Amino acid sequence: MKTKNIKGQYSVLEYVFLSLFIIAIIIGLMFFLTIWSSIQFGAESMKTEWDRALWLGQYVQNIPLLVKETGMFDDGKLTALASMGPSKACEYLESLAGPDFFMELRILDGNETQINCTWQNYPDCNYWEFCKNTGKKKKKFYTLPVNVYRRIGFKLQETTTGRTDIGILKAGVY
Amino acid sequence: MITLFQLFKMIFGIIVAAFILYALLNYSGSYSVFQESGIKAKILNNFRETAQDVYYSGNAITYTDFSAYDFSGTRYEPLRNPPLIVSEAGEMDIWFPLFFVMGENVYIHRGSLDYKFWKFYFVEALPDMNIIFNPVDNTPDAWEIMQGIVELMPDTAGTERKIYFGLCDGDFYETNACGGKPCSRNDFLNAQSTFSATRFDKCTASLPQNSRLVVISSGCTQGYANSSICIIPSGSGVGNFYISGSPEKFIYRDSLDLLSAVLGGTEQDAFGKTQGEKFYEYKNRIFGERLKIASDITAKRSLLVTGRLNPDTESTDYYCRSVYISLEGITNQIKSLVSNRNYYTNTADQTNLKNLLEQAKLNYQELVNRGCEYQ
Amino acid sequence: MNAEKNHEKAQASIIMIVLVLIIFAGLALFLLSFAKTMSQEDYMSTYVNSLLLSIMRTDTGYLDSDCRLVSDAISCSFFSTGLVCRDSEITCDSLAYRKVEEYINRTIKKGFRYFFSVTPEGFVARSSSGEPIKFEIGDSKLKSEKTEKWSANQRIMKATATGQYSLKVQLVIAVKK
Repeated sequence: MKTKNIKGQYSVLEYVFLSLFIIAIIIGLMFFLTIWSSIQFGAESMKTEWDRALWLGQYVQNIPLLVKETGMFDDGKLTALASMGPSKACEYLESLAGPDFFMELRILDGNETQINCTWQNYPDCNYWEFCKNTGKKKKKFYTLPVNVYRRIGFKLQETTTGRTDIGILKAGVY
Repeated sequence: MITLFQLFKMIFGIIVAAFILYALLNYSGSYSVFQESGIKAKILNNFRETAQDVYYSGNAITYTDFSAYDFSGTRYEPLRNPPLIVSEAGEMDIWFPLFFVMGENVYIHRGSLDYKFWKFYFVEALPDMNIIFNPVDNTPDAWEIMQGIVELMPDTAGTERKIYFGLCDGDFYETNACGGKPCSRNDFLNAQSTFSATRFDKCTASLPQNSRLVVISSGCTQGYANSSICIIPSGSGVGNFYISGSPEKFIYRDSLDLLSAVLGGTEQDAFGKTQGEKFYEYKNRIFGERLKIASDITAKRSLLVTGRLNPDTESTDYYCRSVYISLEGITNQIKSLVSNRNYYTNTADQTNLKNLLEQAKLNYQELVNRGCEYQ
Repeated sequence: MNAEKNHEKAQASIIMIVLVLIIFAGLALFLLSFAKTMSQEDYMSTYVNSLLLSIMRTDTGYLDSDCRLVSDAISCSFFSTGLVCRDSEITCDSLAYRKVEEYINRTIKKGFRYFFSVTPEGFVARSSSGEPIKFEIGDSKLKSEKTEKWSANQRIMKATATGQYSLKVQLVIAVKK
């Protein structure tokens, strides 16, 4: 009688445990789905930042304020912007491209030395940088080949004429 | 005969099953809302990416993903800093000039204002709509205003989108004014000469849904016509207009001032401000900001280049110098003018700006003609 | 006794099946989340197109209209082979070869190889010796190699007395092995 009683109790307990176990699996599945959605959302937002960096690299090549035509910067416009001072120039660019934006442009003229373009040394220079803030955290950027139109390209006897050089644009976000 | 244990199993089973069902239904309800929210956010993000591509490439495209869900609660807030698209799925910032009107299928197109020394690009993202003109003043100035507005709109002929232009005369609205069919942009511009011979009475017709009524009359006042933009034609190109629902008198200097008000429309927000007024303010704000940068850069560049040109009077560079110096002076004046954020609320400033922009445009064209600059 | 044992076995099997299904589903979702992002593909496509366009539009340093830009020099190699650029001793075909190689090597990302080719479309251009003109620079194996690569195409159009002709310019890049 006692054995039958214990057996009966075990049966009931087994049944209860089984039900609890299945409920636990279902709740676990619900948690998993929620956490997975959050991970996906996190990955999505990081992908969005990389997308923004790529779009900025393309967008800045098409801003009439800086370019002669798509993919071809105007060195006079870049130098004019740079000559306003780093903070004013960055303020202008951020009003167009959004916050935490930066860009660098280097003409690949075969010159090993990088020469920052200023009012004084224009056009004998090959580099511009805007919103470069070394104090900030990690950057997401892309590099793209571009052209740079040099207004004072060829200095001939009777006239000065333009020249198109090749360069590398580095643009992105902090 | 059923045992006690079997009875226990049945009752316990029912209770557990009921609990599981309740929990699952509850969870799937909130999960589907979460998922729908996520999908809506993705659709809005894709829209922004598509509009960005149009801004970059200039190639128009139709965006159809809005038809998948209910976006009626979504609104575009252009006066926020930065401008935002606000929906239940969250807020999304916009960093390029955009005039966005929500609809199921949205046609995204890039327009521009060309001043030679600088171009202002903007994106229009519009659903199917009818722009209906009521030129009560049937004068060349009125037709020039209509032409200017229509030229900035996209041509949807040959696409599935329907952005049409029509005319209203009294209680009659002509739906098929272009050879028996609705007028797309180019059709309307080509058929203009046939319309200008007609006399138009103030529009009282019942207009189709998705219509924007544009009245052109020297008699425009606040409340002249319901649910419309009312434009007073002006020979100088700078004039006034009214938006139904807004108490103010606005100043226009170019066609985009008028178009922005037309696209925004007369629907009011919770504070009584019309979307047309918001679009107008947004246009002038963003235009002013970018023009200030463009004129600053152009002025400095002109000076920079002049200093490096061949000073010899025998050289062809000599003919460039004076024009560059003139351009520098004009663009400096433009920069000062638009540095005042409220430049567009003053008729004298607007007239001055219009003249300066015209002079800068001519100056730059002169540089191109002399071989000193590129087109 | 046996019935009880079978009963227990069955319950254990059901639980095992459910557990295994959940683990597989979880793994699949986890692995899917690591699938390559579209950003990288978009970037490489943009990169190779920008590289080709930039090279074609760059000045060679010579002001002769047949030799001014890289695209001019390439066009000259097919339509005026052997033409010497004004105020120099270099022919436009040599100039085109030299400049394309120089600009690509200066600009291309480290760790990448390339293949640049120009092909006449619908006609055959011949050199003075009668041989068909071939313009290829870089690793020619890339043309047919089955590897992950990205390519860009441009066209150079030329109107002559006998009609309109076009040259297809292609740049293919891939990671160095």
